[in-house]
Amino acid sequence: MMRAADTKMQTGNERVRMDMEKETIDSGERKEKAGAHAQPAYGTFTRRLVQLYAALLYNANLKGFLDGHIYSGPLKSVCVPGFNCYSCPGAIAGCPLGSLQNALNASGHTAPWYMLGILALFGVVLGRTICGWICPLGLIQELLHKLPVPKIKKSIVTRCLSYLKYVMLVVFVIAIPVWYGINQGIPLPGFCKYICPAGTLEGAVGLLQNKANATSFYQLKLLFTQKWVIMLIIGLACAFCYRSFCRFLCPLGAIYGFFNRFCVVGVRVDTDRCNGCGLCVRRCQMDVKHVGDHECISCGECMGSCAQGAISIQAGRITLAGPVSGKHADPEPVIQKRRKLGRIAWGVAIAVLLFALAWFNWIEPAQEAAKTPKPDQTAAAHSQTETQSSEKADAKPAAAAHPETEAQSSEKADTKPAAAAHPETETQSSEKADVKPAAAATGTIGSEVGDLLPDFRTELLGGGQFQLSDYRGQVVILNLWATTCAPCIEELPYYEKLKVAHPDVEILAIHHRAGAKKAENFLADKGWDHLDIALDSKEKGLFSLLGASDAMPQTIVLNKEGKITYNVQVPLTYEQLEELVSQAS
Amino acid sequence: MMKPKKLYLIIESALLALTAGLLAAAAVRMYVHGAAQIASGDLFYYIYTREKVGAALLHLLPLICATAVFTVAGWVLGIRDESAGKLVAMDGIDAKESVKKAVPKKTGRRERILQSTILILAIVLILLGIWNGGMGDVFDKGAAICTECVGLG
Ligand code: SF4
Ligand code: SF4
Repeated sequence: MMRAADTKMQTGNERVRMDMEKETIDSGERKEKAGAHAQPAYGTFTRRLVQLYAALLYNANLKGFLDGHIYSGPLKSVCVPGFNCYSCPGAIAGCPLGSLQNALNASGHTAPWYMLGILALFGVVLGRTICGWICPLGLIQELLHKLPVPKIKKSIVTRCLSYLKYVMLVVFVIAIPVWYGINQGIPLPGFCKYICPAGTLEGAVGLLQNKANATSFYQLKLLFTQKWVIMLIIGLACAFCYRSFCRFLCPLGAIYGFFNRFCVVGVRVDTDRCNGCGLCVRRCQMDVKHVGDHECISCGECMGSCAQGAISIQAGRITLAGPVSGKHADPEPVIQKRRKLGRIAWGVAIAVLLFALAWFNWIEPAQEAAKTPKPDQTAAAHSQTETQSSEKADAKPAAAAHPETEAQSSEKADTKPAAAAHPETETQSSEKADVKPAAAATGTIGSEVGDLLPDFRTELLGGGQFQLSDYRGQVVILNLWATTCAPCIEELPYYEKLKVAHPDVEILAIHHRAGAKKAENFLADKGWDHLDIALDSKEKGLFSLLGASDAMPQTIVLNKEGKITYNVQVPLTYEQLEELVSQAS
Repeated sequence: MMKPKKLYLIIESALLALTAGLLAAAAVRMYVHGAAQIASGDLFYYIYTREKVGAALLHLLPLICATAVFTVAGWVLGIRDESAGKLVAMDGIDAKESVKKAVPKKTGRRERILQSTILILAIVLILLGIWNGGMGDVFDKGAAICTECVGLG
């Protein structure tokens, strides 16, 4: 009897529940028909503001876009949580995915604890809330989706495609960097190199748009062509299909997705209120199977479609956003308190942003400028030939300050190195060089083709000193490189070979100040005994003295008069080096 | 007779696809031409230069402007794919199961333990990374342009 009554009661409850569900679904469909769903869910505007805020904060070094240089201060040793290329002129910190690949590259000698810790920290605190709220690439994708074109809705196909990002993670982020790092000793960030659209857009386009980086164009070959096409395809896909990159390709989203179920901040469902209508999942544009799963970016867009007011964004027990209207709305005092806290948070955030903008664009550059030795002063301090050209040097410390010189040299460099373009000039100067080797050198001090490079002195790795003016009457090649730069490492053996073939040519390879201490270990087993190697440092400022860009490798060739015949940031082949030597001789 | 809105969406899609396609084609053409030049023995031929890229963009400028104007017009007139805001089918997802698996508002004990453990582990790993030079590696990579990362070299 009892069992029969229970069953009857259960059936009754089930029926009530099913009726409730039907009513909610119907009301959802009705709302949809009435166009209610065409309205953005509440919180969309706030989210957009937060996304813009994050993009601006990550790229607070706005002056980088104007001068074409990236920020290289101490903050670059930490990462921002979202996707933001560290080679973007505006970036103030590292990119988590690029840094992870770099760490895995180095895993043969340094365990990648730091990056694993950083990603675990971001993941456990924010999970994929990062994707929905503070990822600049997410913002760009959402803006592209605003383009008025037909939209491809999610389906079983897109859900299958969403697993592609795990393949990306395993192959491009883990396997390729680890394999190349351990077996080949070459830093190869697979995802950055072959796929990353943020690198192409923020890094390549961000740098190339500046006239100061005109010679960086010479580096562009197949890799750029391929990445440019990939970026365009991804951009186009985002217009038609919501967050295509984020959903199908982004390895960072794949990593943060692992933490989604238990991260501190995220979207949550009040299971007591939820009646299982499924409107949230049907409303969501991501490939979620349920709210808060590994695909959910905690955007909160589904909150508006839940008639039960069951969805909220939580930070632990604190509700950051919840239902504000309807019968399930939070009590008015709670909403007011939340709004008040929100205003305080915005106040703090704006103060932080203003400070960052002031710091990166005015305060720190002014401090750096005060500390760094001026190129002309250093040149005057060391040079023996300076007496002839120091007046000019004072007036013209670097060619970049003289647009007309720059314009001339960029014209010269358009398709060929200047020496090749003007063979008669070279012949004349080499003749002169034979007669009056060092003392005949007169001209503008600068870093453009035809200029005299400022003289400098530096210690060499393994003992000894290098003074540029000592080599007047000889062809000198300066190679600017870094151990973190794969093209540099592939190119260096050619310099060694060149030195063996041309003992009369002086070759100095100068390592970038970043990671200079590790260069010694790197070089230990290479057996490049003929090359002179020097390490730059903040105090020496050799790179800035030579007017070098932040992009490597860079090669500067000086003829016997000490004049620059070639100065380009591009990896060279051995044949090209031979050609440059014969032109400068 | 096709509805004007639908027609607009089709034209806008075609314009966008054409712009992206021609931008991609311009780069591919430049590369193919440059690669042939290099293969013919011109050691210092630069495939891309600021001037060449500028000229290619100038060629495409009318199309880029037309697409931009057409897009803005669409926004101003409020034209969009109306079906975009509609609910999609559950497509093989069981609503009941979905509710059971949804991340609940009240954090369970297991989740709290997991959170704290990972948080502590993360901090330990970061400290270890600072100690073993991993943090320095991140700086080294970020302080100079990674030409490969950005597709330059
Ligand atoms: S949380 Fe989702 S399934 Fe539950 S009532 Fe709200 S809309 Fe329906
Ligand atoms: S489930 Fe909700 S919060 Fe999560 S991605 Fe979808 S709409 Fe955004």
